[in-house]
Amino acid sequence: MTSIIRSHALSKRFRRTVVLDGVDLEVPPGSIYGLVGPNGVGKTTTIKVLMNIFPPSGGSSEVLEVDSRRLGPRQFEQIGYVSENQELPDWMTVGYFLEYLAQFYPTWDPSLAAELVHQFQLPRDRKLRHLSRGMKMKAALASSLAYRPKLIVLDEPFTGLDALVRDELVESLLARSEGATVFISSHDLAEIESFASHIGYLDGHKLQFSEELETLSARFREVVLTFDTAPALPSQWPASWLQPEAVGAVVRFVETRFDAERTPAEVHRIFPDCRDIQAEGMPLRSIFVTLAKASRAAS
Amino acid sequence: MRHALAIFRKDVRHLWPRIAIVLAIDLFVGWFSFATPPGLQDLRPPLRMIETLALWYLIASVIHQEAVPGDRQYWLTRPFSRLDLLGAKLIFILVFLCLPLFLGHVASLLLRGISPLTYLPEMLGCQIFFLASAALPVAAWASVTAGLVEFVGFSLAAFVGYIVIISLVASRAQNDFYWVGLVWFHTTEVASLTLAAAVAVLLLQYFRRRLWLSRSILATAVVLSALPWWAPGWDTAFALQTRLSEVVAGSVARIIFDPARDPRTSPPSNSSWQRQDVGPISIPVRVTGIPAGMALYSDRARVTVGTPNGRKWKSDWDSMNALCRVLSGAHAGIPERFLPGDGEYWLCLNIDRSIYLRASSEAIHLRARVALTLLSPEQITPLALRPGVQAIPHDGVCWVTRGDRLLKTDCSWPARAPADFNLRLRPGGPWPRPSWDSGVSYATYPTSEELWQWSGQAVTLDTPPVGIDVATRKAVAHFERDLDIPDLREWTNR
Repeated sequence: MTSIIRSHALSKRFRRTVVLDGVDLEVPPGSIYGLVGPNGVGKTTTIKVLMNIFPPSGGSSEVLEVDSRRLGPRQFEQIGYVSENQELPDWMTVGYFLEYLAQFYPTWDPSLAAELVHQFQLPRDRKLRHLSRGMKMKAALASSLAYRPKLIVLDEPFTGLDALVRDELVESLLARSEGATVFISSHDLAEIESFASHIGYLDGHKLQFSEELETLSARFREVVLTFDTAPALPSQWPASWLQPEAVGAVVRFVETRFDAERTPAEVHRIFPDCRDIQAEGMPLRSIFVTLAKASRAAS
Repeated sequence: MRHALAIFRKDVRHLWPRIAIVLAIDLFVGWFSFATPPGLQDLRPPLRMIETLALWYLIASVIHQEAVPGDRQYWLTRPFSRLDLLGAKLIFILVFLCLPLFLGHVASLLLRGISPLTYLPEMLGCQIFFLASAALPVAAWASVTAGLVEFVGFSLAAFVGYIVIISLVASRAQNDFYWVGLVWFHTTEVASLTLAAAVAVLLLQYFRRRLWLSRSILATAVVLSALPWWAPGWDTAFALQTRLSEVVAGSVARIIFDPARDPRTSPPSNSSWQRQDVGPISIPVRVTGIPAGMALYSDRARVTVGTPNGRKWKSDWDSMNALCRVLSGAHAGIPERFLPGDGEYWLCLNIDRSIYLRASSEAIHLRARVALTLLSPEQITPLALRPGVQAIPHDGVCWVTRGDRLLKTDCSWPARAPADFNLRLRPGGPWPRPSWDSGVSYATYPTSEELWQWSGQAVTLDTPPVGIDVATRKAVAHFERDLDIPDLREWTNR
């Protein structure tokens, strides 16, 4: 099967404000794809365009092999969408909300719905308006998992939730999404890092990169060079070295294309007097902080 | 359809308290209109207004259950087809708004001992009119708003805008606000416009979610619905009315200039609207060929006048232009457009003031076209001077209300009121008809959601009559007649 979600040169403008500018995205089937990036870069807009809530201003996108502008009931039967600021029918009780939605999904599994209600400890006869934010999110998630969707789209699902609820949601999501593709947007990098298989980084209205988390982690290293005396710094740093800084006899930078053979060779070419090279892996959060700073410095 | 019904059931489950309140208001107003407790008839319009607002509220409520504007609604990514969603809303409107209206009509007929089957087409016509002029436009209006506050705000803005436009065109429209029997043409124009706009907006909103285009269409519809006040389209209205009517022979109601008349018998000036641009002129005419027992009603007239030096002036179908007669006896001097048979009448016109001032010194050429309605022989029904409902022909009912010096008669008929309604006092004879009888309609189909059409007359008397009769006539035909006077001086110099 080809990509579950695919976009080509996708752009979105609100009047004169450009929110997305030529986003190319590929989400492989079965992946847990985390769309990350600073606040306000267009993660929610990307999802809303993909879900046919907003029409794109340019480019194209496909979801489940259907042009996203043509997404209809047949596709939504296979998509579970939960968003942090989704307006739910507050007057409904949890039980009625699930009963009501069950009528629209041919694959709705009542026993799975009951299990999810039990697992999330949702009070069936309480109105949605009387639920806490976390419980509301759980109700929304239960209503989006009970029909075993092929694609689960989550827009900032963990915002404002305490750690315990977050863990519960993530656990359930992983347990119940077997075989499904999960597309999740978040600025909570630590959370994403714990379960995402693919990462897309959106910044400056563009997707800066999109790749497997494993390869991403492998190619980013915080490199520390040690010298006997303060070295002479080059006028031009290699493009893949970000945030270079020198303090006395120590030089630090972030290598974005780390290779166990190529990187030391490059270091020795630029700094022949380098005494020691230490390269350490970086957590996702540090990678994105580095990228965000580099992006800001470039702009 | 299964999904539409599921959405419908969900809406009913949530909105049942509002549905119950609206149905209770419906029932009360329906009963009130039907029974019309003596002395409380004046409460009917405000009650109707409350009922209308309640219906609007219910329509807006059901549409806002799945508000179309916005990007956060949970239903946007659920497998609802937009057709099912729109279908659910239409089912709701049909079940809780149209059906009660229909059942109310059926009940009112049954309670009057009339078979509803007799008036089935008219009842369906009321439904169509209700959908076209109220339910669907309100639904469309609600579909471009996200909630009740926005809905009320937009409605008030549209209302104020409409009033401003009307005020702006009022000076041009002058007294043309009086559609009288042709009110059906105006209501049909506006209902067609609102229906077209409503359907376009509902389709655009539910299938394309084009919010700003939809709002623009509604704003345009508001502006266009004020247009008939500025350009009423009388030519089209009279032409259409004539086409829909029975054909009458050219010899019926011929109008002949009658310059030998004594000028002192001319009617008083009818230029009561203080218009500076025109002056009143009454031209003596003789009308012949009105079939025995029948009568004429002069709807409007238009006039073209020309001076010897080639200047021409043309009026529209001015509401102050008509054939008229001057009443004698107790009501001496009052002009009336009702012409009871062959005889001497006046063509009362307003013409350009500068030409009017030269009418006795120059050879003014005048051509007039008069729109007329031929009325059937009258049907007289005596009414008792007592409160309570009294039956009259054509399934009608009347109420007589007596005040200190006031005697008021209100009558209603299913589907269609007679074209002419007149009270006759015993003793005293006919009472002058109101200048602009809003109860008159020449429509051949319902132009309101109300099945019962009202007409009535109030008279002020020093001494109560012994009895009263209601005289009614039906419209038989509508047609136009021309009058050509090459030189007005033949009359103005007398």
